[in-house]
Amino acid sequence: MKPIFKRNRIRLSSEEINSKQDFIKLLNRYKSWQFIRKTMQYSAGGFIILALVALLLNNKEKTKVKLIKSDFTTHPSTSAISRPLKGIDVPFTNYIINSQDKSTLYFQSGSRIEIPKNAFVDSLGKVVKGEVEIKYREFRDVADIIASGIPMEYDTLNQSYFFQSAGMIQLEAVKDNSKLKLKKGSKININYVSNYSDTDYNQYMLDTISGKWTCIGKDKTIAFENNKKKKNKTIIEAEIQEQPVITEPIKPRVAGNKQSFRIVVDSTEFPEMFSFNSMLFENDESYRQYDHRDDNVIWDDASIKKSDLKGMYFVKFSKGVRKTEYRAYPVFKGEDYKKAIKQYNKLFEVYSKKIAEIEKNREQERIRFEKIKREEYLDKQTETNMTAAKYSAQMDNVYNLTYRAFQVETLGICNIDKVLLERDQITNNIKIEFPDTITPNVVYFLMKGRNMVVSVYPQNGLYISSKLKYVDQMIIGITTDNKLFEITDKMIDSASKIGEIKHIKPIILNQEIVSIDQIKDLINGTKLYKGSPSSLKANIKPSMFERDIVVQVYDQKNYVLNIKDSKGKIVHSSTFSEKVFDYDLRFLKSGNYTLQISSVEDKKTAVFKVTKLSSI
Amino acid sequence: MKTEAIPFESLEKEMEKINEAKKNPESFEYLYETYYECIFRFIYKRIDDENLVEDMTSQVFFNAMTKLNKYTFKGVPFSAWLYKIALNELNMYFRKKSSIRIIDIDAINTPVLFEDVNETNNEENIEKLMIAMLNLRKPDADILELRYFEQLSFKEIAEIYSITENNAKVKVYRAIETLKHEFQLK
Repeated sequence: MKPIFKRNRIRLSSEEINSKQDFIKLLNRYKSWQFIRKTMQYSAGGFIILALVALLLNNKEKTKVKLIKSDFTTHPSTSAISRPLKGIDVPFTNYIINSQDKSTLYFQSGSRIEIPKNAFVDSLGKVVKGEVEIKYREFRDVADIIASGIPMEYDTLNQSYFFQSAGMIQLEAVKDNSKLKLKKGSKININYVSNYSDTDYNQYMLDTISGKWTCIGKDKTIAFENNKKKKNKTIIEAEIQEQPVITEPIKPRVAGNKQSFRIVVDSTEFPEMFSFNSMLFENDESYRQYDHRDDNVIWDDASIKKSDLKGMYFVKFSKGVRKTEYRAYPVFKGEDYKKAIKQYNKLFEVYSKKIAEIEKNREQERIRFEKIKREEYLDKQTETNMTAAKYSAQMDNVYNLTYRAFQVETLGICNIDKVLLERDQITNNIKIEFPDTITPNVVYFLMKGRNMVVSVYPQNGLYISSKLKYVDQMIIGITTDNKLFEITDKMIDSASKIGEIKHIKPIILNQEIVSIDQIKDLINGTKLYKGSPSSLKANIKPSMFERDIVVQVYDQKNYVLNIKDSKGKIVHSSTFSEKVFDYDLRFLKSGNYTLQISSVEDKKTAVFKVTKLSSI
Repeated sequence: MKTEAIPFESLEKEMEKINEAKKNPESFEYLYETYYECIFRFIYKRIDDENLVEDMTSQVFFNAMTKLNKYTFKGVPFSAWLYKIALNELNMYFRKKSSIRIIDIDAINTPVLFEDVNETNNEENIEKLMIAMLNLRKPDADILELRYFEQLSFKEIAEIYSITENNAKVKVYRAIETLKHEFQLK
């Protein structure tokens, strides 16, 4: 979109701009982010350190959801799910929930799931109570799909299609090492953060034994920004309501022999006392001995004030400048004491009931307060997770984050897909033969931008269509001895005749595969062939100019950059001696190229695949 | 045009502050206060919505805080790194929202730009400049804006684009050549 020119815009002064600064807000946001980040980080051993929600809810006894660990020993292989790489799988994130409560679980990707209460049943169909372990994982890209071994082929009407996935999850529930089922009628809401916002996807569930996918409906896409719950709850609403002050009546005492004085008390001011005319105040000698010089004084004024001791009052007398103070307690004589006790018992009964009622109200208020605080916290956490996920996506240059909202009525593997290609469109007319040194176990035809994986088991020979011309396509495979290999476009392009048998030499990645990241690196081309002993440590990335590539090397030497087209012809050659070299790709036609960097001194090389999407 | 030389003392002090902020996020305040205005103005020149500019400025500093541990000193002011983040934010915003970017013509250092394209600085040429800029590719327009709006040094531009200083010069001169060409067509 063309920019527009503006003239004579309002000039903002420095004061106006700087008045918008709010570092405290920024700092608080950063601290929230840092906390979430830290709690979500995997430790070296693969365990998540903190019990996130338990900690934040700040109430151990009331904890309903607890993140326990990330599980790296995952789904058992079935006849339909067979992981191609030993010991490598997509990890589960595990939560412990109280199955009798509704739970909302949050995940590192920004996704969240909502589980209704009493949603699980055991193998006998009995509703499960108490703690249940929820196991959840997401398959976000082609590397995850490959590592999981989940079939992505969909058979319908005697035709086999391949899925392109907008998101795939697995959700399981376990109690006492036994898998649970979802109770009939219970539905779990899943809000999956996806990079794909198209609405023409369907929802499928996998039968892990037969490997068949069943279409169960459509999901709903929700714009990422609009998913925040907007609630007008405030702390003020949540504050415990002020309870009426109830004064405990004072148990009457019998008058003794200590000095006492009579004062008329306003019962509205001191409801705990009894307005009997015979009520006296007896001096507390532990506070002060009675001064007999006060005996014959006719005081102008007297006042009573509660002391800190229960049932004790300060009694002040004054006459002109003369003042005196005693601490005293009310006492009764004779029949008045009996009457007072009777009245006290009545008052105390009323008092006890009121106190019980207040305690009940207070507890209800406290529960309400905690609930609102918790909801506010969860809202805030959702927002923070979304911010973190958005940020993370921004770092990965993913711009179209969407919530894909769907429900599951059964546990297991659920996929949001649309069918893209038929098997015949991929495995067709050219037979590929491998050298004797390579025994392929499985070959994957990938379309990276569409999250599509086509698995081909070439025991009876590998056949590939000569018509494969997708921009984001890639063919990789795994050998029987657990090594990754790549079949480049060049190898396929040169085999163009139908029925031709093509002998190829796939490029083997000479590394033991120990993590999914290695598959991701190979697919993304970021560390391709880096493990080779003779390789050169180098990296490439697109520059902020769409037409350029930034080549980065790690030693200050002289280098040669060669760019070869898909036929192996050198189309460009240049030298450089800087650690960072910016290469302008404008003159290249669109297509696939190999970018080779070689150091002049020690002849080490690094090779990268570059795809130029269009002429710019 | 802004001088290429940056006083060593100020960079040294800035580096100290950055190292402090890496250990203690509260120390980031110094960098925030120092560069808030220039980042705000940088975005404001490209977006015609003051509230949005404020939000985006805040996002730039938030991104900077979260990535500060990865920041390495390359002999240019910290602002170059912030500009880089801001440019990313802007690109993302325009790509995502399909919003119209604005070019604040008054903010351009037109005398220097016209000198570099061998044209006279007058009203007629300013009109022509606007049309010529519209026909530039976005990367070319971006780099000219950095050079003539923000008056950044080649070293700073190099830091923003993760390229060498020489490459930055080449890119600016290429963009000027394209602009000259566009001028001649008008």
